[in-house]
Amino acid sequence: MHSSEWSLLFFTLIGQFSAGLTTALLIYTIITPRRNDNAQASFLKVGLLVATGAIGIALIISFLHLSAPLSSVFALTNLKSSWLSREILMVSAYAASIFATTLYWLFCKGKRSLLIPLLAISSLLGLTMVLTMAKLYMIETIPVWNTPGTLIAFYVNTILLGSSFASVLFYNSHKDNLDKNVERVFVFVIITILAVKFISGLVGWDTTTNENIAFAGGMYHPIWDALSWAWLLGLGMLIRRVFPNPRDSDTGIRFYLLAFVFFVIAEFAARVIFYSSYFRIGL
Amino acid sequence: MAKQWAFYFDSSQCSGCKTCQIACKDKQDHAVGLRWRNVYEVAGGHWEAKGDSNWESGIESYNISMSCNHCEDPICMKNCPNGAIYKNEEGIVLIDADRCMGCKYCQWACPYGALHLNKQTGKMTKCDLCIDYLAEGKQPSCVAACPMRVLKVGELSELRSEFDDWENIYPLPSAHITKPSLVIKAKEAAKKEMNWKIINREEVRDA
Repeated sequence: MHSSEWSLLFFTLIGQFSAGLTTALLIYTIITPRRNDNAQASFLKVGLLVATGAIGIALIISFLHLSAPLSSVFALTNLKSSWLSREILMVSAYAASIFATTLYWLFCKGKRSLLIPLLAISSLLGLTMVLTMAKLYMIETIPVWNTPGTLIAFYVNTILLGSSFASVLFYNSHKDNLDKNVERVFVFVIITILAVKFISGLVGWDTTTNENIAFAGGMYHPIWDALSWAWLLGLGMLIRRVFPNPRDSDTGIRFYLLAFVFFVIAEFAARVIFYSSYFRIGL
Repeated sequence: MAKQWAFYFDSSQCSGCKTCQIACKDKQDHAVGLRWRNVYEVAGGHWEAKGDSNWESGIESYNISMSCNHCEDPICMKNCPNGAIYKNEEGIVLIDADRCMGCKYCQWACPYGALHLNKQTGKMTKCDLCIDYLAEGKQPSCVAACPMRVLKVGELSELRSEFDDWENIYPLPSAHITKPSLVIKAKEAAKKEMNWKIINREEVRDA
């Protein structure tokens, strides 16, 4: 993996996390009855601030990849054919949208009339941003990236990190009056997306090509392979939460937090492997 | 049809002296490690045992001198977010340095390894076919310097009609991907299916 790609790794991981968290907040807002209590207000406030902060950090990190960042003012001038140009447009649009949503929630004193439309727009922009992120890597000359596996991996990361972080926040803000149905929805979403991740891994996307390859993919340390399976530990934490030990008391936050940490480790390692696997056809 | 400048390269006669590479660096005054043209040394085959103590060589080798091929459908231009890469009216693919932000996306995509980062300026650079020389009626420095006369430059359609073209030479990709403006005469051995490898990897890698 080239040293200049670390910034891309963090940018994609954090940006996708932000989009996933926004989508989780939207789902929460839709499925929970409006109560205007502190728990709901606090959950949404912290969630929106984290989503906005994350995309802000991702944006700053993305500039570290550029050798001449001042020329990025031209970055939207090839929307017609460049997926990178489209990605930059979508990242900017999503960042502006989630920032506006956060401002609305912070300054409109709990009025929820516009919250769902604003979150829906932000979520749609965020998920479209993830699509453009994936498509820019799916280049004809890079067979190892030019598979549906790239698209699936990026959406898995989005939903997995977003919903697992949302479940930590949810438990923390609602622990005094836990809505089991909402908790079940988050756990169901996480387990479903883990199933998609596992099946996608089993498929083993065909990256063979009849083209000449002069330089094979880069090598990575086997430790990344091992760490990419950390999601199994995260799944174990969730199962432990769903089937609690009767002798334990109030262990929910610990299990959700550990699950999120294991998912972050797994996705980080998977992304290192992704960037390390780069090779292109020809020279 | 608009004019399309192109390179002709006779791989069957190239000695791999790398004068083209040096002439390009000299003309462009490039820093150490930055090369718009590279000579790739390709080798394949193996030694076969003949009897108890005799071995027969089945080794073949050839060279590929390669820079930007000023493709008809340049993948670098399509992917550049800033619109910094463009084709001029003579088919030469050029970079507008003022617009380049150094994202290196073009470098990822180009299957000819033609784009290189200038670490001093932070901008991507590539062969401009010595456009100033062409305007003066002179040949590009690599073509003019080649002692074996295996590099030529000319109108693509004329080069194609004058020379036999072999597209599927290792390690080049299929021409349909970017439609390179390149005509290659391959060594006979290069047309064989063999375990071809680039043997000067460290030398051609971007520093």
